[in-house]
Amino acid sequence: MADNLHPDPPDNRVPEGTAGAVVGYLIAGIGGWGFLGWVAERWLGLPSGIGIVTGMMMGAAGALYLIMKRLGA
Amino acid sequence: MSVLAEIGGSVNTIGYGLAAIGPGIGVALVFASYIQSSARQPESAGFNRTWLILGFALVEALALFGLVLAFAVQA
Amino acid sequence: MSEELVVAQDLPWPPSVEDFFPPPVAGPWVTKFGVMVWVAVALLLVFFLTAYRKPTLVPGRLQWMAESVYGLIRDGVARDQMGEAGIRFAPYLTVLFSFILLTNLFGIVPGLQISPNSHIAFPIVLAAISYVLYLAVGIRKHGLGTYLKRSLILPGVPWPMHFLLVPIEFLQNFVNRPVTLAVRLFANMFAGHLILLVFTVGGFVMLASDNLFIKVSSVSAFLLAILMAFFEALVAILQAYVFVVLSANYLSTSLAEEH
Repeated sequence: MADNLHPDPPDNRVPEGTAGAVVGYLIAGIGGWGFLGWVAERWLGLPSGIGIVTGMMMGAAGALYLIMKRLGA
Repeated sequence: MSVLAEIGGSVNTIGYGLAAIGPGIGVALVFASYIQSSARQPESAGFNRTWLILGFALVEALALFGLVLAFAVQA
Repeated sequence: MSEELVVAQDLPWPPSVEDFFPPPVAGPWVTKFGVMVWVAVALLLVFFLTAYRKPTLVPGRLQWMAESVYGLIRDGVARDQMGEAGIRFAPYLTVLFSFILLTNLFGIVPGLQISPNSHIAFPIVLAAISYVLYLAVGIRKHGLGTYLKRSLILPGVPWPMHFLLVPIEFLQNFVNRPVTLAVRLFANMFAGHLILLVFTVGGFVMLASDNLFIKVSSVSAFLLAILMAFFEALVAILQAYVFVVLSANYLSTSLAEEH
Protein backbone atom coordinates (compact mmCIF):
# COMPACT_ATOMS: atom_id res chain seq x y z
CA MET A 1 0.00 0.00 0.00
CA ALA A 2 1.18 3.46 -0.74
CA ASP A 3 2.04 5.58 2.25
CA ASN A 4 0.57 8.79 0.97
CA LEU A 5 -3.09 7.90 0.96
CA HIS A 6 -4.25 11.23 2.22
CA PRO A 7 -2.29 13.88 0.39
CA ASP A 8 -2.73 17.29 1.90
CA PRO A 9 -4.32 19.72 -0.50
CA PRO A 10 -1.53 21.94 -1.80
CA ASP A 11 -0.98 25.51 -0.56
CA ASN A 12 -4.27 26.04 1.17
CA ARG A 13 -3.02 25.48 4.68
CA VAL A 14 -5.13 27.51 7.05
CA PRO A 15 -3.95 28.20 10.58
CA GLU A 16 -7.00 26.94 12.40
CA GLY A 17 -7.19 23.68 10.51
CA THR A 18 -9.92 23.05 7.99
CA ALA A 19 -12.75 22.30 10.41
CA GLY A 20 -11.99 25.34 12.55
CA ALA A 21 -11.82 27.57 9.51
CA VAL A 22 -15.17 26.26 8.20
CA VAL A 23 -16.91 26.96 11.49
CA GLY A 24 -15.17 30.33 11.77
CA TYR A 25 -16.24 31.43 8.31
CA LEU A 26 -19.81 30.29 8.91
CA ILE A 27 -20.04 32.10 12.24
CA ALA A 28 -18.49 35.21 10.71
CA GLY A 29 -20.80 35.07 7.72
CA ILE A 30 -24.08 34.25 9.41
CA GLY A 31 -23.40 36.23 12.58
CA GLY A 32 -21.88 39.25 10.87
CA TRP A 33 -24.39 39.56 8.07
CA GLY A 34 -27.23 38.67 10.40
CA PHE A 35 -26.18 41.55 12.62
CA LEU A 36 -25.93 43.91 9.64
CA GLY A 37 -29.38 42.78 8.53
CA TRP A 38 -30.77 43.36 12.01
CA VAL A 39 -29.28 46.86 12.04
CA ALA A 40 -30.71 47.61 8.60
CA GLU A 41 -34.11 46.31 9.68
CA ARG A 42 -34.13 48.58 12.73
CA TRP A 43 -32.85 51.52 10.75
CA LEU A 44 -35.28 51.28 7.83
CA GLY A 45 -38.22 50.35 10.04
CA LEU A 46 -38.97 47.12 8.22
CA PRO A 47 -41.26 44.54 9.83
CA SER A 48 -39.22 42.56 12.30
CA GLY A 49 -37.56 39.40 11.10
CA ILE A 50 -37.09 40.28 7.42
CA GLY A 51 -33.70 41.95 7.72
CA ILE A 52 -32.10 39.40 9.98
CA VAL A 53 -33.30 36.43 7.93
CA THR A 54 -32.11 38.03 4.67
CA GLY A 55 -28.78 38.86 6.28
CA MET A 56 -28.31 35.34 7.58
CA MET A 57 -29.14 33.80 4.21
CA MET A 58 -26.74 36.14 2.41
CA GLY A 59 -24.06 35.52 5.00
CA ALA A 60 -24.47 31.76 4.76
CA ALA A 61 -24.24 31.91 0.98
CA GLY A 62 -21.14 34.09 1.12
CA ALA A 63 -19.50 31.90 3.74
CA LEU A 64 -20.19 28.73 1.73
CA TYR A 65 -18.78 30.36 -1.40
CA LEU A 66 -15.67 31.44 0.51
CA ILE A 67 -15.25 27.99 2.06
CA MET A 68 -15.43 26.27 -1.31
CA LYS A 69 -13.00 28.75 -2.86
CA ARG A 70 -10.50 28.82 -0.03
CA LEU A 71 -10.67 25.31 1.40
CA GLY A 72 -12.52 23.12 -1.04
CA ALA A 73 -10.28 22.98 -4.08
CA MET B 1 -56.62 27.50 34.84
CA SER B 2 -54.01 26.73 37.43
CA VAL B 3 -50.36 26.60 36.43
CA LEU B 4 -48.92 23.16 37.03
CA ALA B 5 -45.33 23.69 35.90
CA GLU B 6 -43.37 26.67 34.74
CA ILE B 7 -40.09 27.20 32.96
CA GLY B 8 -37.96 30.11 34.09
CA GLY B 9 -35.03 31.78 32.38
CA SER B 10 -34.55 32.02 28.66
CA VAL B 11 -36.63 29.63 26.59
CA ASN B 12 -34.39 30.47 23.62
CA THR B 13 -31.67 28.33 25.15
CA ILE B 14 -33.94 25.30 25.22
CA GLY B 15 -35.02 26.02 21.68
CA TYR B 16 -31.45 26.18 20.49
CA GLY B 17 -30.63 22.99 22.33
CA LEU B 18 -33.47 21.24 20.50
CA ALA B 19 -32.49 22.80 17.19
CA ALA B 20 -28.90 21.59 17.56
CA ILE B 21 -29.97 17.93 17.67
CA GLY B 22 -30.63 17.72 13.95
CA PRO B 23 -27.36 19.29 12.74
CA GLY B 24 -25.52 17.22 15.34
CA ILE B 25 -26.81 14.03 13.79
CA GLY B 26 -26.20 15.46 10.33
CA VAL B 27 -22.54 16.28 11.01
CA ALA B 28 -22.08 12.82 12.45
CA LEU B 29 -23.57 11.24 9.31
CA VAL B 30 -21.37 13.34 7.01
CA PHE B 31 -18.17 12.39 8.79
CA ALA B 32 -19.21 8.76 9.26
CA SER B 33 -19.83 8.40 5.54
CA TYR B 34 -16.51 10.06 4.73
CA ILE B 35 -14.58 7.77 7.02
CA GLN B 36 -16.38 4.73 5.72
CA SER B 37 -15.91 5.61 2.08
CA SER B 38 -12.22 6.39 2.47
CA ALA B 39 -11.71 3.19 4.43
CA ARG B 40 -13.33 1.19 1.65
CA GLN B 41 -11.59 3.06 -1.13
CA PRO B 42 -8.58 5.02 0.14
CA GLU B 43 -7.79 6.53 -3.28
CA SER B 44 -11.05 8.48 -3.20
CA ALA B 45 -10.21 10.28 0.06
CA GLY B 46 -8.73 13.36 -1.60
CA PHE B 47 -11.58 13.61 -4.08
CA ASN B 48 -14.25 13.21 -1.40
CA ARG B 49 -12.69 15.82 0.84
CA THR B 50 -14.27 18.64 -1.17
CA TRP B 51 -17.72 17.19 -0.69
CA LEU B 52 -16.95 16.47 2.94
CA ILE B 53 -16.22 20.15 3.54
CA LEU B 54 -19.27 21.29 1.56
CA GLY B 55 -21.60 18.90 3.31
CA PHE B 56 -20.22 19.74 6.72
CA ALA B 57 -20.53 23.47 6.01
CA LEU B 58 -24.13 23.15 4.79
CA VAL B 59 -25.19 21.16 7.84
CA GLU B 60 -23.28 23.35 10.26
CA ALA B 61 -24.87 26.48 8.75
CA LEU B 62 -28.28 25.26 9.96
CA ALA B 63 -26.99 24.92 13.52
CA LEU B 64 -25.56 28.43 13.35
CA PHE B 65 -28.87 29.85 12.08
CA GLY B 66 -30.32 28.49 15.29
CA LEU B 67 -27.51 30.02 17.33
CA VAL B 68 -27.99 33.49 15.82
CA LEU B 69 -31.77 33.34 16.18
CA ALA B 70 -31.47 32.20 19.79
CA PHE B 71 -29.64 35.42 20.52
CA ALA B 72 -31.68 37.66 18.23
CA VAL B 73 -35.28 36.70 18.93
CA GLN B 74 -36.81 38.30 21.97
CA ALA B 75 -39.77 36.56 23.47
CA MET C 1 -18.07 14.12 62.28
CA SER C 2 -19.11 17.52 63.56
CA GLU C 3 -15.83 19.01 62.42
CA GLU C 4 -16.41 17.84 58.86
CA LEU C 5 -19.90 19.24 58.94
CA VAL C 6 -18.50 22.64 59.79
CA VAL C 7 -16.03 22.30 56.94
CA ALA C 8 -18.80 21.41 54.54
CA GLN C 9 -20.93 24.32 55.62
CA ASP C 10 -18.09 26.74 55.11
CA LEU C 11 -17.40 25.47 51.63
CA PRO C 12 -19.42 27.17 48.92
CA TRP C 13 -21.67 24.61 47.26
CA PRO C 14 -22.43 24.39 44.38
CA PRO C 15 -19.25 25.93 42.90
CA SER C 16 -19.93 29.22 41.20
CA VAL C 17 -18.16 32.15 39.59
CA GLU C 18 -17.65 33.64 43.06
CA ASP C 19 -15.05 30.93 43.71
CA PHE C 20 -12.83 32.54 41.10
CA PHE C 21 -12.45 35.69 43.18
CA PRO C 22 -10.38 34.88 46.25
CA PRO C 23 -10.14 37.64 48.86
CA PRO C 24 -7.39 40.20 48.17
CA VAL C 25 -4.03 39.47 49.72
CA ALA C 26 -3.25 42.98 50.93
CA GLY C 27 -5.52 45.88 50.14
CA PRO C 28 -7.67 46.08 47.03
CA TRP C 29 -4.74 46.31 44.60
CA VAL C 30 -2.76 43.20 45.55
CA THR C 31 -4.69 40.12 44.52
CA LYS C 32 -3.70 36.47 44.51
CA PHE C 33 -3.50 36.56 40.73
CA GLY C 34 -1.25 39.56 40.62
CA VAL C 35 1.11 37.91 43.09
CA MET C 36 1.05 34.68 41.08
CA VAL C 37 1.90 36.45 37.83
CA TRP C 38 4.83 38.25 39.48
CA VAL C 39 6.00 34.95 40.97
CA ALA C 40 5.80 33.31 37.55
CA VAL C 41 7.81 36.12 35.96
CA ALA C 42 10.42 35.95 38.71
CA LEU C 43 10.70 32.16 38.48
CA LEU C 44 11.16 32.25 34.72
CA LEU C 45 13.76 35.03 34.95
CA VAL C 46 15.73 33.19 37.61
CA PHE C 47 15.44 29.88 35.78
CA PHE C 48 16.66 31.10 32.40
CA LEU C 49 19.32 33.44 33.83
CA THR C 50 20.89 30.82 36.10
CA ALA C 51 20.62 28.14 33.43
CA TYR C 52 22.58 30.24 31.00
CA ARG C 53 24.93 32.13 33.30
CA LYS C 54 27.93 29.92 32.56
CA PRO C 55 27.04 28.09 29.34
CA THR C 56 29.16 25.06 28.66
CA LEU C 57 29.48 22.98 25.51
CA VAL C 58 28.34 19.88 27.38
CA PRO C 59 25.33 21.26 29.21
CA GLY C 60 24.66 20.67 32.86
CA ARG C 61 21.26 19.60 34.07
CA LEU C 62 19.74 23.08 34.38
CA GLN C 63 21.20 24.25 31.09
CA TRP C 64 19.94 21.08 29.43
CA MET C 65 16.39 21.78 30.66
CA ALA C 66 16.43 25.37 29.44
CA GLU C 67 17.93 24.36 26.12
CA SER C 68 15.40 21.60 25.54
CA VAL C 69 12.49 23.98 26.16
CA TYR C 70 14.00 26.50 23.77
CA GLY C 71 14.88 23.77 21.29
CA LEU C 72 11.38 22.33 21.37
CA ILE C 73 9.82 25.69 20.52
CA ARG C 74 12.50 26.76 18.03
CA ASP C 75 12.58 23.53 16.05
CA GLY C 76 9.15 22.10 16.72
CA VAL C 77 7.13 25.29 16.43
CA ALA C 78 8.97 28.26 14.94
CA ARG C 79 10.93 26.46 12.21
CA ASP C 80 8.16 23.98 11.57
CA GLN C 81 5.52 26.67 11.03
CA MET C 82 7.51 29.52 9.51
CA GLY C 83 10.67 28.02 8.07
CA GLU C 84 14.07 29.61 8.60
CA ALA C 85 12.50 33.10 8.72
CA GLY C 86 10.73 32.11 11.90
CA ILE C 87 13.85 31.54 13.99
CA ARG C 88 13.89 35.18 15.04
CA PHE C 89 10.49 34.73 16.69
CA ALA C 90 11.68 31.71 18.68
CA PRO C 91 12.65 33.71 21.82
CA TYR C 92 9.21 35.36 21.96
CA LEU C 93 7.44 32.05 21.44
CA THR C 94 9.57 30.34 24.08
CA VAL C 95 8.82 33.02 26.65
CA LEU C 96 5.13 32.84 25.76
CA PHE C 97 5.13 29.05 26.07
CA SER C 98 6.95 28.91 29.40
CA PHE C 99 4.86 31.71 30.89
CA ILE C 100 1.55 30.15 29.88
CA LEU C 101 2.70 26.69 30.95
CA LEU C 102 3.83 27.91 34.36
CA THR C 103 0.70 29.95 35.03
CA ASN C 104 -1.48 27.05 33.83
CA LEU C 105 0.30 24.65 36.13
CA PHE C 106 -0.45 26.96 39.08
CA GLY C 107 -3.97 25.57 38.78
CA ILE C 108 -2.89 22.25 40.27
CA VAL C 109 -0.09 23.38 42.58
CA PRO C 110 -1.24 22.86 46.18
CA GLY C 111 -1.66 26.18 47.95
CA LEU C 112 -2.15 28.20 44.78
CA GLN C 113 -4.73 25.96 43.12
CA ILE C 114 -6.07 28.44 40.62
CA SER C 115 -4.57 29.53 37.36
CA PRO C 116 -4.43 33.25 36.55
CA ASN C 117 -5.51 32.22 33.06
CA SER C 118 -8.92 31.25 34.41
CA HIS C 119 -9.62 34.99 34.45
CA ILE C 120 -10.30 36.22 30.93
CA ALA C 121 -8.12 39.31 31.46
CA PHE C 122 -4.84 37.41 31.34
CA PRO C 123 -5.52 35.42 28.13
CA ILE C 124 -6.81 38.63 26.53
CA VAL C 125 -3.51 40.37 27.18
CA LEU C 126 -1.49 37.38 25.96
CA ALA C 127 -3.59 37.09 22.81
CA ALA C 128 -3.38 40.86 22.25
CA ILE C 129 0.42 40.71 22.29
CA SER C 130 0.41 37.97 19.64
CA TYR C 131 -2.27 39.83 17.66
CA VAL C 132 -0.37 43.11 17.57
CA LEU C 133 2.84 41.24 16.77
CA TYR C 134 1.49 39.40 13.75
CA LEU C 135 -0.32 42.47 12.46
CA ALA C 136 2.87 44.51 12.80
CA VAL C 137 4.97 41.83 11.12
CA GLY C 138 2.52 41.57 8.24
CA ILE C 139 2.27 45.33 7.77
CA ARG C 140 6.03 45.78 7.95
CA LYS C 141 6.63 43.00 5.44
CA HIS C 142 3.97 43.83 2.86
CA GLY C 143 2.90 47.40 3.62
CA LEU C 144 -0.53 48.25 5.00
CA GLY C 145 -2.43 48.23 1.70
CA THR C 146 -1.00 45.00 0.38
CA TYR C 147 -1.41 43.27 3.72
CA LEU C 148 -5.08 44.22 3.94
CA LYS C 149 -5.63 43.25 0.32
CA ARG C 150 -3.96 39.88 0.85
CA SER C 151 -5.99 39.02 3.91
CA LEU C 152 -9.34 40.46 2.87
CA ILE C 153 -9.71 40.01 -0.87
CA LEU C 154 -10.11 36.64 -2.48
CA PRO C 155 -8.56 36.70 -5.95
CA GLY C 156 -10.51 35.59 -8.97
CA VAL C 157 -13.98 36.63 -7.84
CA PRO C 158 -16.47 38.81 -9.77
CA TRP C 159 -16.32 42.25 -8.15
CA PRO C 160 -19.89 42.53 -6.78
CA MET C 161 -19.19 39.50 -4.60
CA HIS C 162 -16.59 41.48 -2.68
CA PHE C 163 -19.32 43.45 -0.88
CA LEU C 164 -20.49 40.13 0.53
CA LEU C 165 -17.12 38.52 1.14
CA VAL C 166 -14.93 41.28 2.56
CA PRO C 167 -16.89 41.65 5.85
CA ILE C 168 -16.79 37.88 6.33
CA GLU C 169 -13.05 37.73 5.71
CA PHE C 170 -12.53 40.68 8.02
CA LEU C 171 -14.45 39.04 10.84
CA GLN C 172 -12.65 35.75 10.28
CA ASN C 173 -9.11 37.11 10.04
CA PHE C 174 -9.14 40.09 12.37
CA VAL C 175 -11.82 39.31 14.94
CA ASN C 176 -12.25 35.54 15.17
CA ARG C 177 -8.56 34.76 15.46
CA PRO C 178 -7.59 36.75 18.56
CA VAL C 179 -10.94 36.07 20.21
CA THR C 180 -10.67 32.30 19.81
CA LEU C 181 -7.02 32.42 20.85
CA ALA C 182 -7.92 34.10 24.15
CA VAL C 183 -11.19 32.28 24.76
CA ARG C 184 -9.73 28.81 24.15
CA LEU C 185 -7.11 29.23 26.87
CA PHE C 186 -9.53 30.95 29.25
CA ALA C 187 -12.30 28.39 28.80
CA ASN C 188 -9.99 25.42 29.33
CA MET C 189 -8.55 26.85 32.53
CA PHE C 190 -11.94 28.01 33.80
CA ALA C 191 -13.56 24.65 33.16
CA GLY C 192 -10.60 22.81 34.64
CA HIS C 193 -10.79 24.76 37.88
CA LEU C 194 -14.53 24.22 38.04
CA ILE C 195 -14.12 20.46 37.53
CA LEU C 196 -11.59 20.22 40.34
CA LEU C 197 -13.88 22.28 42.59
CA VAL C 198 -16.85 20.04 41.85
CA PHE C 199 -15.00 16.87 42.77
CA THR C 200 -13.11 18.06 45.84
CA VAL C 201 -15.80 20.26 47.39
CA GLY C 202 -18.43 17.72 46.39
CA GLY C 203 -16.40 15.03 48.13
CA PHE C 204 -16.40 17.02 51.37
CA VAL C 205 -20.12 17.70 51.07
CA MET C 206 -20.78 13.98 50.59
CA LEU C 207 -18.51 13.15 53.53
CA ALA C 208 -20.57 15.42 55.75
CA SER C 209 -23.79 13.62 54.86
CA ASP C 210 -25.75 11.70 57.49
CA ASN C 211 -26.29 8.80 55.12
CA LEU C 212 -23.56 6.18 55.47
CA PHE C 213 -23.75 5.11 51.82
CA ILE C 214 -23.21 8.67 50.55
CA LYS C 215 -20.41 9.11 53.04
CA VAL C 216 -18.59 6.04 51.75
CA SER C 217 -19.08 6.94 48.11
CA SER C 218 -17.28 10.25 48.66
CA VAL C 219 -14.12 8.17 48.20
CA SER C 220 -14.91 7.94 44.49
CA ALA C 221 -15.22 11.74 44.32
CA PHE C 222 -11.77 12.18 45.86
CA LEU C 223 -10.29 9.54 43.54
CA LEU C 224 -11.75 11.32 40.56
CA ALA C 225 -10.39 14.61 41.88
CA ILE C 226 -6.88 13.14 41.91
CA LEU C 227 -7.38 11.71 38.43
CA MET C 228 -8.68 15.05 37.18
CA ALA C 229 -5.66 16.83 38.64
CA PHE C 230 -3.41 14.75 36.37
CA PHE C 231 -5.77 15.40 33.50
CA GLU C 232 -5.50 19.13 34.21
CA ALA C 233 -1.70 18.88 34.04
CA LEU C 234 -2.11 17.41 30.57
CA VAL C 235 -4.54 20.17 29.57
CA ALA C 236 -2.16 22.82 30.91
CA ILE C 237 0.71 21.58 28.73
CA LEU C 238 -1.53 21.08 25.72
CA GLN C 239 -3.14 24.51 25.91
CA ALA C 240 0.20 26.27 26.29
CA TYR C 241 1.46 24.38 23.25
CA VAL C 242 -1.68 25.07 21.21
CA PHE C 243 -1.53 28.77 22.04
CA VAL C 244 2.07 28.99 20.85
CA VAL C 245 1.49 26.89 17.72
CA LEU C 246 -1.46 29.04 16.70
CA SER C 247 0.50 32.25 17.36
CA ALA C 248 3.32 30.93 15.19
CA ASN C 249 0.85 29.94 12.52
CA TYR C 250 -0.76 33.37 12.41
CA LEU C 251 2.73 34.85 12.19
CA SER C 252 3.47 32.54 9.28
CA THR C 253 0.42 33.79 7.37
CA SER C 254 1.73 37.33 7.90
CA LEU C 255 5.15 36.30 6.63
CA ALA C 256 3.91 34.30 3.64
CA GLU C 257 5.16 35.31 0.23
CA GLU C 258 2.92 36.29 -2.63
CA HIS C 259 1.82 33.28 -4.60
